Amino acid sequence: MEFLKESLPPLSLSEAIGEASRCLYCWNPPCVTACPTGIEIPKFVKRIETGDFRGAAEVILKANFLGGTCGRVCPVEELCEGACVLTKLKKPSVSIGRLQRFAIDHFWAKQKLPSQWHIQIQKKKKVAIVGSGPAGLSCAATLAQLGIEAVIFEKNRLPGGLSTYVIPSFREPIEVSLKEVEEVKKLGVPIHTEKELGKDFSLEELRTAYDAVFLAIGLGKSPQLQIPGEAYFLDSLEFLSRAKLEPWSLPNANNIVIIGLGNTAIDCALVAKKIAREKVSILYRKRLEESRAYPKEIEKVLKEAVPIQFLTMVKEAVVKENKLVGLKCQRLNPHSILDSVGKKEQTGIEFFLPAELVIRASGQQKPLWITTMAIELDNGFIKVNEKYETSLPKVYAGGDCIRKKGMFSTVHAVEDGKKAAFSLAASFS
Amino acid sequence: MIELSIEFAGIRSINPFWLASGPPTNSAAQLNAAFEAGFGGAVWKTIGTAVENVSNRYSSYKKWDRILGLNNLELISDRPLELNLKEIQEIKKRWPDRAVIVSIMEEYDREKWEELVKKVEASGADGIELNFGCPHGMPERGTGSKIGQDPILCREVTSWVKRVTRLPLIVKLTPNVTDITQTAKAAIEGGATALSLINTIQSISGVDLDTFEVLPSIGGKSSYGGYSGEAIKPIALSLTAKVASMEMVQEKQVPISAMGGISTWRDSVEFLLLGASSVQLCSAVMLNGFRIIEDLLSGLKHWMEAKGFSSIADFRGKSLSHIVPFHQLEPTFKQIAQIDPQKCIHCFLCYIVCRDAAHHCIDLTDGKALYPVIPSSGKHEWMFPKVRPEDCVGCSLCQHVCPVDSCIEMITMEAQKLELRPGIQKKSWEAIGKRATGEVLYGCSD
Repeated sequence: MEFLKESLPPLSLSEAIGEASRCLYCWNPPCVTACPTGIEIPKFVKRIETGDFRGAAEVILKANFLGGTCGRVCPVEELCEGACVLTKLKKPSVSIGRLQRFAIDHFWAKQKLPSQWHIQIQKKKKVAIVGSGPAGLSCAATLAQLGIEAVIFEKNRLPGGLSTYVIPSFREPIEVSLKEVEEVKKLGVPIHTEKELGKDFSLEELRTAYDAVFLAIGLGKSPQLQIPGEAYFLDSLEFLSRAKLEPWSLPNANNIVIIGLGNTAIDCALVAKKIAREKVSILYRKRLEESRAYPKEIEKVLKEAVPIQFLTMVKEAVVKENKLVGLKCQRLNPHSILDSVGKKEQTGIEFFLPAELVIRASGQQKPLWITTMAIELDNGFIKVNEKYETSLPKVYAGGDCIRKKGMFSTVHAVEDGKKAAFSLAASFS
Repeated sequence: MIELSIEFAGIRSINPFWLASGPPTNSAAQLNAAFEAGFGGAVWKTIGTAVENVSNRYSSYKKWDRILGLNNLELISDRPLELNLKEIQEIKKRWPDRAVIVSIMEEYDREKWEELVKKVEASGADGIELNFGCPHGMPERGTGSKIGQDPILCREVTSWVKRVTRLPLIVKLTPNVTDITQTAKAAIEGGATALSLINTIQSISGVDLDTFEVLPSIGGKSSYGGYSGEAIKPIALSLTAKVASMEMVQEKQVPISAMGGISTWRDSVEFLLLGASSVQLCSAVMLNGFRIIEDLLSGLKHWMEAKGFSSIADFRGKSLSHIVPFHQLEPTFKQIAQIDPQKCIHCFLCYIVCRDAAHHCIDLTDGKALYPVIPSSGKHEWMFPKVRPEDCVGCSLCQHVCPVDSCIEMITMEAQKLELRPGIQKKSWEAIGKRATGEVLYGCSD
């Protein structure tokens, strides 16, 4: 199936060397400053240029154990490549993301981590990590390299979090995510799957049994729109995970409608475009400039000829013979101003939009159970200080569950995990 | 009206671009194509002693996809001598307005040289070039650069040939010597009417890191080769200037046909400005074909038009007077680097090379005042590389590494301002020498 394949082909050897040779080898370079994990980019790029691929991978993995994922899913235009000085000369930036992917793929395919990376785990202190997404894995890998024992608990059947379940295959095939999970395990970190916090064990139990806990629990599904017939909609995370893991289970649809215009909504639209028989469209309650999606991503959906209807809200699902046939929508007054709760005046025309599949991608909800824990929150997200410490002693948190604002991508979660691991290690010494 | 034709030691040529002796001049068919494309002349690939070539005779020195230099292990022509002579005769007959010169090489045996020269003369060629430069294979047989590296042999063999021919006699010099003026002098004393230079530079182009074999690997073994192509141009320019500046060359007006790394019209003009009368190309043709002649002619013509030159003679050797012995350079001439903050892209290459390899006179300063709009990607962009003029020696390394066009400029300082500064005296080395002894101390130019 086409949408299961990675859309960007890997760089060939000569392409990689040629691309690497474009790097100016800046001193104190802006690409490194722009990288949330601080990978020494010119260093690894120059190593690719000279054919020291192993050396290149070591530079990347030292700063970012999930370099293979990040090389694929990072919004590079917003980060390293956007900062590349070549852009100031009106030249294309160095394809840092693809070079990183080249180095890491080359490394994992043929090499093993250097022996000095496998530190003897000391059984003195023990950390429980909840969630095996990028933040959890990064924390585990860093702790392992510091010789600290860590155990990961994962609620799903497969580890890897969003990288395994949600990032569309055309960005990152599942094998890449699972390979990184394997490498974390090889460092001496056991991963217990289908173990859910709040169900299989409580935070209190973890705090008693372990010296510290790192919460990397991510976010939940999209919040309900509270409209009639919503039960017929598919949640964006579920849609993406079915598209990635069991594409045969997706319903046949002529028209697919996506509600929302965040980065997840765009992923949904791009996947939907590959499976819809006729048309894919996006409905967005706000204006273009209010979208939190990366401009490059919005460009992508527009290039794929996916129409976006701005200032449009869904009133109700239209269901016939127990089947979804479309949506009743209403345009919002373009001159209306957002009030404090974000509602707009509903004065526009109403219309019907045919759709056999509707995906709700209007943001992710905080897991409900967080509120039941005795942990301080900030606008629904777990509140942490600069050391990633929560209000509870010995409990740390990182990843999507703490990020209440700003850009948030896999790479930020990786950095959270890494930094939290250093904080944890410091607290033990 | 631009006149590109030249007369070189009595040989007429419609333009100064000749093919150098080598793989592109191995047959009448090739010369025919080259002349049709527009080349003004060609030096036929060296004929003489019978040889047998090896397979896989090239290797290159590359920077990714760009060939900087070419290393070869090809010997002289391996075609039958009679066939070569027959084709030379045909091609000269067909192209009377082009220079057809034959490169020859024999073992160190007077009779053999004389016999070969007579045959070449009978072919109707315009001139003879003595290949005293081949650095691979042939020296082991006592010829090629073996002769060209020894002024005595060089003089002797040239005189053997001179005695039996009235054709213009060009001696091709090897760069693989300590002092090229010694062999140039020997060749003129032996009777050379003209000189050509440089032949290839002895080289090893690389080693295979997996097999440990030296490149090119010929069944696992290799040998010292001859290096050519763009990378050798600076060496060829320097040797051309040296020979062209020789008193003997200037007095006798010995024409020079220059070569070594020429691939564009710009390169060609540089050699002409340093005293060459014609230029020869080989590697550039080997890498691109004869078609490059159209661009060479176009570029040369347009440059001459722009500069108001109507013939090659108008500018030949014009730059030689700009070369002086080091001691005649002006020590009070002083430049300092200046970095344009508006053009700077913050790669800091200037900073790092100045810090680590020059005079540590570039500071990273707070550039807040220079950049009123906060750039999106990071705090460090506030930093701006700034030259400390009092410590800058004007070495210009920063300017060379800067990737931005005209971002770093070398500003010439006024002499009086400099005098105010300690440690700088307004006098040249030569002046210092004169004052001390009344004579020039550093008088010897070579």
